[in-house]
Amino acid sequence: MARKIKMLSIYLVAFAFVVASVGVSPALGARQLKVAAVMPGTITDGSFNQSCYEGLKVIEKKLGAQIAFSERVSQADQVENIIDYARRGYDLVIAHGGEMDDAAMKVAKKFPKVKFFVTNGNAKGPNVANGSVNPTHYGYVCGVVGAKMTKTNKLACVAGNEFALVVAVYESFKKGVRDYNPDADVGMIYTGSWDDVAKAKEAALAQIAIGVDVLFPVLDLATLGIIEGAREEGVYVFGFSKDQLDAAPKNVLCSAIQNYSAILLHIAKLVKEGKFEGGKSYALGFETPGVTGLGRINKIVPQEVRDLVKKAEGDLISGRIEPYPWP
Amino acid sequence: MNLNWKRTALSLSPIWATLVALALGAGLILLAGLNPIKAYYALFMGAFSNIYGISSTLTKTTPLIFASLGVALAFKGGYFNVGAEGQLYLGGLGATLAGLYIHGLSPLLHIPVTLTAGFVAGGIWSLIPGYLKARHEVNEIITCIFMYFIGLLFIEYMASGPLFEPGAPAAMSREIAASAQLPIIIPNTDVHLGFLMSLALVFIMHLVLTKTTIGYQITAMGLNPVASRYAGVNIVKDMCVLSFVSGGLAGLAGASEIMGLKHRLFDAFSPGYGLDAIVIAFLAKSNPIGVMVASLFFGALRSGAGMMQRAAGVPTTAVLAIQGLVILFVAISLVLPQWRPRWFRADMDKETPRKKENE
Repeated sequence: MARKIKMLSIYLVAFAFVVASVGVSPALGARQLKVAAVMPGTITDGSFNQSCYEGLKVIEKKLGAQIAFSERVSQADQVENIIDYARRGYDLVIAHGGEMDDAAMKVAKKFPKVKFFVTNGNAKGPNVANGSVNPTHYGYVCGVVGAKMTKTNKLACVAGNEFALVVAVYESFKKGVRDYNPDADVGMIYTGSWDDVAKAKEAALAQIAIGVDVLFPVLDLATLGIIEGAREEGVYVFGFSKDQLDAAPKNVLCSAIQNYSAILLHIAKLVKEGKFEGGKSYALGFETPGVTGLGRINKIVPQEVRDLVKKAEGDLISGRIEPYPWP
Repeated sequence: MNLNWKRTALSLSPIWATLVALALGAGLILLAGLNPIKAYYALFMGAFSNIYGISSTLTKTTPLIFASLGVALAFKGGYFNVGAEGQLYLGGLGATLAGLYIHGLSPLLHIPVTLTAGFVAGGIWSLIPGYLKARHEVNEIITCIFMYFIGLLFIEYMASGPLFEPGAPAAMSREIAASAQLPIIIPNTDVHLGFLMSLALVFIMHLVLTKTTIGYQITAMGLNPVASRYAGVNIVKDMCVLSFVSGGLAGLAGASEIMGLKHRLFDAFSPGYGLDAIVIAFLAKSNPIGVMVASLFFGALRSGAGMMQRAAGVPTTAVLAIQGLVILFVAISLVLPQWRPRWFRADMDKETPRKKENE
């Protein structure tokens, strides 16, 4: 009896494999652009990773590309994920997040024909480039708005860790504030976590307690904690990454939009046209349509401030103001 | 024959558990609107089909073996080391420090020194709960869990603070010296020398546990600490040594991960190898050879799961849920031998000699 069961299970397994191998025989088609992305978080985080996923969808639609992605890729799985796409003939592999610098470089050396792009990274090589939404652009214009809206002349940035990008945002924000309100102070707080909403809220409340009335979160999911703290205490706050006006319609002044989907579309287009430059750091700001902006500006922000924002944007595009060296 | 069938079935319970979990997982994949057969095909092929799949499986198996050996050794001696993940992180830190700040050694010397640093760091992290248990009878499950969180946050602090590479785009340290990096043993893959070392340790531990006095002493201590004490064993000292070695082995998991794979200290560089190690040690009933087999299974599950996502488009949430189901059902299957339904047990009890005489 045991023997029969054993034989039966072997047959079943064999049968399953025959069925399976028929099921996955690849469809042959015309040569199309193939773009894959490896993301550290979930595609529904309403922020950094979702923006990447939406970018892939736009690439699929506008460039007729074949897309694939891996989400929630842990440190240990980065190389494996990136190399797998390279091996399967993707033209562009997006490593979404600076923590994948090493992994992308390691793989890029073995696949010279594949292009690699590290979002917010430093990686550079013959077939590797990195890029980000120019943090000095959105940081500066938010600074302009904050400078005019603060009553206590105390503003603060809240971020997870002291990354190069965070420092650029903070310095540009501070420059924007100081250029339009020389009396104001801008603090900087690191909570050590990008996603811990409760911790971020605590940090926000602590800042509000010492008189800060404009908060600028430079966080992922934890941004919601800052907005929540501002809403409870009735102070101003910026949205980060996405338009977050709806999260607290009375408190969110505007949002520092980072549309990674527009960046990725831009990069994929370059790859398709053969204009992708390895070794470059792409920093895209107001000069590239759709990449950054302030989203919907709250109606409590007066027209004169909006005019100043327009002027600041123009200054940034023309290069008349460079708030902070970047990249 | 019916009885034999039941015995065999029972001894293979982890396998049935896995199959049940995969069957439930198939339901999840169907819910996601995908073809489960295609997904499981990707899972299997991802783990074993070609050199890349196999190498990815082995790369993940390496830290699992180290950490699980540590946990298994602890279980053998009656020390419930559930803090292997924290010890693994500390081991990674120890190795990083030795790899960053010791220069000018030949790899032949630098690698052992760096490994030792990882071993000691992990060992100390485990010695604290071990000493508290041995000396003050503090429940080590609680202290181990505390130490795990402290370790995790400490590494996060180190990677984004004192060891942070200025200008780096994420929380990470500088790269460790080339002389402290473990060589790759299969060209063009990530399989490094750590894998062979972990296999060697499996056999060393097997020999120690089965052939030496120390091994016997550990087993005795685990089975009955009071009796061991009466027999003249210095329980406090032995428990401290045991916890140190157990944590050291888990530390080696982190050290080999940094030295062979990542070459830098990152925050959250382990996806939970030390937590899987607890399940693996249970699954293997703390037998080193069993640890090796179970680690391979979990390594394959982890590497195949990634493939399931990439090749079959299964959402990560479903992949993680399936992994969770496997662990859950395997854990349930492990208590099954103690808790057997009456209908299942009835005729097995008849097998006892006395009852046979009655018949």
